[in-house]
Amino acid sequence: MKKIGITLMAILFGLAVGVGSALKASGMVGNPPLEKLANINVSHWLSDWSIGAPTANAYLRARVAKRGLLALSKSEAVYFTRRLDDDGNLLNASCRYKLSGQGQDARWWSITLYDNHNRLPMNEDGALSIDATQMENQTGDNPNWSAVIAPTSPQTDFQTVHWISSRHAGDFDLTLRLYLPSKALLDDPQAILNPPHIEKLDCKTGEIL
Amino acid sequence: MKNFLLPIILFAITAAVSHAMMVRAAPTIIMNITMDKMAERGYTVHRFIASPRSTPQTQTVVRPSPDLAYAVCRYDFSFHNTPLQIAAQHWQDYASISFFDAQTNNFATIPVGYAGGETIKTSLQLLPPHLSQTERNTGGIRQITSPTDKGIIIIRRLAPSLELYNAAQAISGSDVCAPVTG
Repeated sequence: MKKIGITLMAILFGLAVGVGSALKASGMVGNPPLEKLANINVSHWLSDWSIGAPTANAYLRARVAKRGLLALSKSEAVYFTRRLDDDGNLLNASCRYKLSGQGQDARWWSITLYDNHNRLPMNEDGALSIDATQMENQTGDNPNWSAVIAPTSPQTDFQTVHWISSRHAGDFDLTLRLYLPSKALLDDPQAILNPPHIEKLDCKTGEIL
Repeated sequence: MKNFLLPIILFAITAAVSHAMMVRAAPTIIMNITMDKMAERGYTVHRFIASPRSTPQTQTVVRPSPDLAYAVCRYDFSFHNTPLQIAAQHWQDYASISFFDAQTNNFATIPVGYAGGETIKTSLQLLPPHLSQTERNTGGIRQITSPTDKGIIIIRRLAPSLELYNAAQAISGSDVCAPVTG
């Protein structure tokens, strides 16, 4: 009887460990750092080309199912995510940042802010992202664009400033989407991607945002 | 030690097998939950439903793009084993029809044509996984086969402004996701 009890406990414990470790390893529980989930890193912009593909290993598919369900395969769109500023510090809504860059070798691109629950931050500022169309309108022939990430609007009377609101985002990250990326970019993202910069401007201490 | 050898072996085997099965099953489980939640929110089977513009207040999936207008069709070939007619109204900018099976694989993506061309819709048929060759219509209509009985079809239209989103919503009523008749 004792032997049966020990055997049963071993099986149950094995089940618990197996299922728990699977949930952890595939990112289904907890919030594993992005760096563990990516195989492409261009100046802290992280991605994995097997997203959306049936050839993706089971762990990646499980992680993508949780973090970005219904993501397209790379021939249609690629997704880069970044959670660090240029100094290597976590992006947080208590700070303001200058986001800057140039165009991308793709049909269209956008940068969207998400909180650490993979959601659009719960605010009503209507400033969730910037995209190629906006930036081209801003810069004309100048290839350089810029925007501000901040919990409050940076608008002044003197100029229009593109803004992504981080209000109520806490620790956040940015997703750079590129639709119909060029073959050159798919073949060599390190060389072809123009990774946007994220420069910290200042931070407010003691505020929970 | 000898007394514990069998339990240790059983523990190791059970842990390894359950780990592998859980990792493999996770995407399917998540997809099933997603489709069930869609059903609860009124996304009926075999019909494109235009989603509300993605905002913090309306988001229902992780990491939605606020710059795209989505139309979603759930499909389920367990209801009937006949092809689905899929058609998307052409759009003035980037648009695509993407197909996801029950294991979250994006098994096909078709570009949607630009508005103003000779045709106004991009059309094709989605075939169930077990349709015999003799039952396939080869009348020149583009066909793709779903790897699974269930899945999701998404039309994405680039609409970074409210004005464009409303325009995309307006034409989305002409999108088609319905069993082929006749």
